Amino acid sequence: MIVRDRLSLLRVWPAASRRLAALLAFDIAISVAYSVYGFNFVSVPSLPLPMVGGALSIFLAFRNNSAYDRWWEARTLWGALVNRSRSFARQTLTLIDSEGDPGDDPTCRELVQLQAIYVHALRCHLRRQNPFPELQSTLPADTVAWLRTQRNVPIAILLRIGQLLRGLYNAKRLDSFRLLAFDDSLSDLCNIQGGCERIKNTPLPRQYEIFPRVLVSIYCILLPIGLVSGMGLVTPAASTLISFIFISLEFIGRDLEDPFEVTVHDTPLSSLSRMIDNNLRQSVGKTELAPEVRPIDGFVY
Amino acid sequence: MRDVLFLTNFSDACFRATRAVAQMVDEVNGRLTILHARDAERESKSLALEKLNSFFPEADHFRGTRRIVADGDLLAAVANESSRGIDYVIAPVPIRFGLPRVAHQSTRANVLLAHRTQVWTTGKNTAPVKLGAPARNVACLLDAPSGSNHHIRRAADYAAEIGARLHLLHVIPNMHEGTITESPMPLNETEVANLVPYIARRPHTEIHIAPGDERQTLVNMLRTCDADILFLNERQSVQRRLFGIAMSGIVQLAPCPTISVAPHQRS
Repeated sequence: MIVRDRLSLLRVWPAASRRLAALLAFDIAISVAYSVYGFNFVSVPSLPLPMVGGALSIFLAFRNNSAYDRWWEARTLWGALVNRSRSFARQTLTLIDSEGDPGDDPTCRELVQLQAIYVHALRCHLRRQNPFPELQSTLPADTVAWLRTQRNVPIAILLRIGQLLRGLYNAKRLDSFRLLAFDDSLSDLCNIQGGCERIKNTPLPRQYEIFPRVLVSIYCILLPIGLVSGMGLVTPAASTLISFIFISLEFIGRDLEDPFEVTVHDTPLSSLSRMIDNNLRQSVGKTELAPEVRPIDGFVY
Repeated sequence: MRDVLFLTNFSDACFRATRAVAQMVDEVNGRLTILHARDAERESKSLALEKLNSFFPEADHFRGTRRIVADGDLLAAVANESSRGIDYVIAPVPIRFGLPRVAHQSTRANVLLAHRTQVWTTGKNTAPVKLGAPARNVACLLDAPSGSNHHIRRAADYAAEIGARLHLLHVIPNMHEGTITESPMPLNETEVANLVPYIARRPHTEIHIAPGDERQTLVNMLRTCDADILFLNERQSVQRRLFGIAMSGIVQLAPCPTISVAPHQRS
């Protein structure tokens, strides 16, 4: 996620450089051919560029709105995950009967720890990242071995949490009402995960990817042909500027539509995971907290 | 336990490579060291440490992870770590501005040549899906007829370690009319197997041979065998130019990450 106002050219340029460089070369060729060598056939001033540009802008805006909706929904889901994780920890420490401080009870601590592990596992699941280097240092070897057999590691962790709660119910440390409250929490977590997986596994319809790129390219190629008769040798500057605007609009939509791809445009999963982890650690009385994830060069991951 | 050194300048490519790093650490039971060489004139030590602690934060949960901020020269810092023994150096492709770089001194190439280690890297064509995916197919480009093939043994050991198939790739250059001498180039599977008998006869090993331009044919073969990683030797990985040194076109064009193996490094 980008958190600063000014972006380094090194971050912006590489994505658009080749297309813009090619278009600039084409614009220069057209303007030199018309203005210097008098090849009038390269100019078609009657091209309906304003109308095509207007229609293209509406199309790109619609596509970018859809991409932004996905990006915002991903952020909303992870915000809900933060809330639900905190609620689960609170429920664990207040609803389960225990002798003494619930924060010292091994089962309560295990439940809170599993909730934190679930968040990390979900982050890895969405990023298609191997979770086991992290899990090995926090879970017993037999649990890790079992999780390696599971295709959906976060869901398996939720199942383990549910099994622990069932054990508490059987041990009469939970009654049925409180067990239902916990089950609602687990269902909410499942729904959040389902929403994230929906965004991850269902891209925007490919027509929204292919047609904008093709139409923007065609428009940028026609631009100097329509402008050269009026602007002459200044055509490359104007045409490249207008092309940059349309190409940028196209890139904005492309960058936002996949919020779980380990890019600077992503939902900041690492930062949110660390925050949830620290909140849950503090809830069980741990004082050793991991350092907060801060922006790096204006980007939070 | 293998030692993995991850070089980072906090670029987008480094963040994208974190998935591959996590996968490698799990596959080879690795111990990770994240190294950042700061420019003392532009970056204070405290700022560099803050950035480094915020980079790939989940690595703190890996066993034995270390984070190091080195002052000044990156190669000197790598040399210092190499003296303790490094099995893999992770060096993602840097951000390209898109303009030609005259007299460019590639850090990746220099690390490979100077420190005799294995350098994992990506190219501009590396498919994102290959970063972090479990390696099922390990490919290795033969250097024939008389080149150094030490990287093949490393590829075979790596494939055996992670339970992947090994694919030996051999590209026969285009023969032109007028070639009058008998070529020492192996031209069929039997000759390739005889070149590396200790590898070719291992189980789960396939040999692929195709004629044509080395780069394009290799890319096609990598796609055919769905390679997840490609092993290369020094000569195949590095391109020496008039005023500089860079990673070769094979590294740039491969659709999967590559591991460049220098001779005389610890197994």
